[in-house]
Amino acid sequence: MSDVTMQSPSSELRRSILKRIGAAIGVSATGIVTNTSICSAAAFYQGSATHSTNTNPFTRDEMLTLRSVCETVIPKTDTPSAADVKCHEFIAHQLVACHTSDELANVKNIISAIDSFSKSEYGNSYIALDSQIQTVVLESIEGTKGFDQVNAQHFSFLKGLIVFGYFTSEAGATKALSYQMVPGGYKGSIPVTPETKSWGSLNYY
Amino acid sequence: MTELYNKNTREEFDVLVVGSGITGGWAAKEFTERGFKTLMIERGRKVEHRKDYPTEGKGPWLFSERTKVSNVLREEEYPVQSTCYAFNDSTKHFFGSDKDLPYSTEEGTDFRWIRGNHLGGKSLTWHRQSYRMSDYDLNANKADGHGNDWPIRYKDLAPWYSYVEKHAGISGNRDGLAQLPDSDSLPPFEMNSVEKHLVEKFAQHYPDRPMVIGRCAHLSQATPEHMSHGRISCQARDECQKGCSFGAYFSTQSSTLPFAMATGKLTIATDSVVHSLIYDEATNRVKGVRVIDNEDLTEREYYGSVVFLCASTLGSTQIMLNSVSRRFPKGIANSSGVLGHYLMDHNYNASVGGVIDGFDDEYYSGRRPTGIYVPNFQYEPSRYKKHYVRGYAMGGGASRGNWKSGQHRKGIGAGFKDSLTQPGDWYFGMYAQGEMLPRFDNQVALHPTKKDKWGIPQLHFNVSWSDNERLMMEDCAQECEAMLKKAGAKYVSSNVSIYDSAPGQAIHELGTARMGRDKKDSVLNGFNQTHDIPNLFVTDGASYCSSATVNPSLTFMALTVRAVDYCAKEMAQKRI
Repeated sequence: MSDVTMQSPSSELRRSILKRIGAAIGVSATGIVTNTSICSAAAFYQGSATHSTNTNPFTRDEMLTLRSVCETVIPKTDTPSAADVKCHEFIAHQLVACHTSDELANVKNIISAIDSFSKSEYGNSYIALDSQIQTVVLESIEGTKGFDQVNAQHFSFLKGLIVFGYFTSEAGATKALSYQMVPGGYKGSIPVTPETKSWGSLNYY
Repeated sequence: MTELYNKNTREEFDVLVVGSGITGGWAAKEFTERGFKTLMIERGRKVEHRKDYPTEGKGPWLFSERTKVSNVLREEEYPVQSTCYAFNDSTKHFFGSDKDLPYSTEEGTDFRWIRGNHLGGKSLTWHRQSYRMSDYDLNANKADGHGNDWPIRYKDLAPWYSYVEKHAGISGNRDGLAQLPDSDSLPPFEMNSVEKHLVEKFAQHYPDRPMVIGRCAHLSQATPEHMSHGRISCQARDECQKGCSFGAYFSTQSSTLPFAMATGKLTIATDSVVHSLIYDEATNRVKGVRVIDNEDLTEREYYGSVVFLCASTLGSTQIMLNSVSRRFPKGIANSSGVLGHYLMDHNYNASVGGVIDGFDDEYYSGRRPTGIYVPNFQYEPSRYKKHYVRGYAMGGGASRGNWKSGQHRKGIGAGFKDSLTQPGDWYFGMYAQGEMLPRFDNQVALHPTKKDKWGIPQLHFNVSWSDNERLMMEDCAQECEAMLKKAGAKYVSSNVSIYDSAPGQAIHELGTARMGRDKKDSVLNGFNQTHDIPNLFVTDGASYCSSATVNPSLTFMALTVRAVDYCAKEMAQKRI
């Protein structure tokens, strides 16, 4: 997955962190907490991730289908799609890095089944189908229409990876969801409004 | 001025403290503040507050596996550590490498030994739940005949609990419960509305099972005193195991070490693996410790008038077992023969969960670093169930569903995406925190032939759950299920995991150098001093006589400061 880009938090996010830390210092102004002691805490927000050297286990065609499936499952709305955040590349990496060879094979199988079904039912490969038809294809798997229970299980596993990859990406965690890097304290009750999104910042992922 | 970090010191110290975790940090603080020249000996690397928290604040997208543990890490480096709930790609640097830290288990048994071998030890990664033991806990062995009687009672610990709580900062409510004495606490964290609702429901149906907010070693509201320590209020990130530059939770680095350092009386020897203690038979005193360098494997010795073993239950026990002499062929201060026996952990092997209707218009903000807590309600024999002894507490909490709970839900496209971005159903879960009985058969010993890379005999574990623990977990699952159903929860399900879960995973190892009144069946007296050797103390969890149900670290702190106070007075009287 050599070209999945790993970025530091956006400058917007960084500013909000620094604001939080500033607020924290304000709170502690009566103490002997110095700016340097807390502000050094800001340094770690600028990190870079280690890059992986795994070889991609998918063929080019499989990657194209996978990318397209990512787009169908989590499309672009007012926030980026799973394909926009390169979920397909993350999945190719994660399957090799963290999963079993059986699980990788299952994903390959369902990708292949999706393409075969697309060709037999709609006369074209999955990536060439209209997006509405693509949605119908994936719904057919979940409804086991033209697909069997094993297909449905493999797809459910893949879907879990897409969801995980999307909501742990920077855009997924911070734009599609609300992200509190430094919440500033705990409140047991806040009202839900039409704008409320669930928290993208979790203690464990 | 003494050089702070100096592993090549040839000085004679007043006190050698082996270990730098929760107990080692307290011992070093208390001794140095009393003017004693102290050497803190740590087997692992130096970890400096703030500077050495490399993953703090980083979002999951900054990790190539999004914080998940890769196959290579799991298989080659951390097969045991990676089973710990707190282990992931963002915390792995605070766990020991299994490759370097081998141990063995008796055939047909298993034990998970979770390690934190670096300055600060497991004080950096602990779960921070902090509860006092009650007289019911300290009287349990005497009351029902399992294990030996604790030589101390609540009144012996109470002032020391207060002392450590005020410095460390323990958040909690003053609940006024006999089975769970109140701490000298900072304000409690808030419950969310579903939790408050369930407090009332449980009170209606189970008046003897109060549910309280979990007490934890966090500055819920830092006092000016805490701020003068360089610590500020908890920001509710709940990413504590990466380290906290706000110093908002108690760790050696945030709370005890700065005070020990400030005295100018402290020297720290990192990368110093204690091999054994040096014993002088003529004077019946420990003179020092033999150390193997963590990195280049060279040998050296440190000398001191008193030795405090604060190396964790199993670490201290391993050192003692490996310190053999003509007088103590089975391990130092082991004339009783119980050293290594009565190993306990906590039994966290039942859980329950369910969905709570309503409250759709409410959410919460921040990641609360504690949950709810139902203290043990079977805390004396008259309250025991008929088919097993002792009891369990329950931890847990209420939260709303998110993309993790919805990831396998049916649906494709924008609607599916949108559903995952909304707060989902309210879910309430609890898990058991059961007592494990002290049993002679649950033993850790030195392996007769296998050694680690420092030439130290490996530990060999023979530890199993007994029927008492199994029956307790079955009962807990049933009781919790009934509680949730009576409280109106839907889709209630419970799980018992004890049949495929090894001891060790609660990371509350206890009891292998237990206290007691009688030197024939215990290693330590009521002040954590070995019966056999006046200048040797063990103040970590090895000293426990029974596990009780409460998380042990707060008691480790109280035992340690009490032992230091006693030791300092004995030194002044020239009895040590």
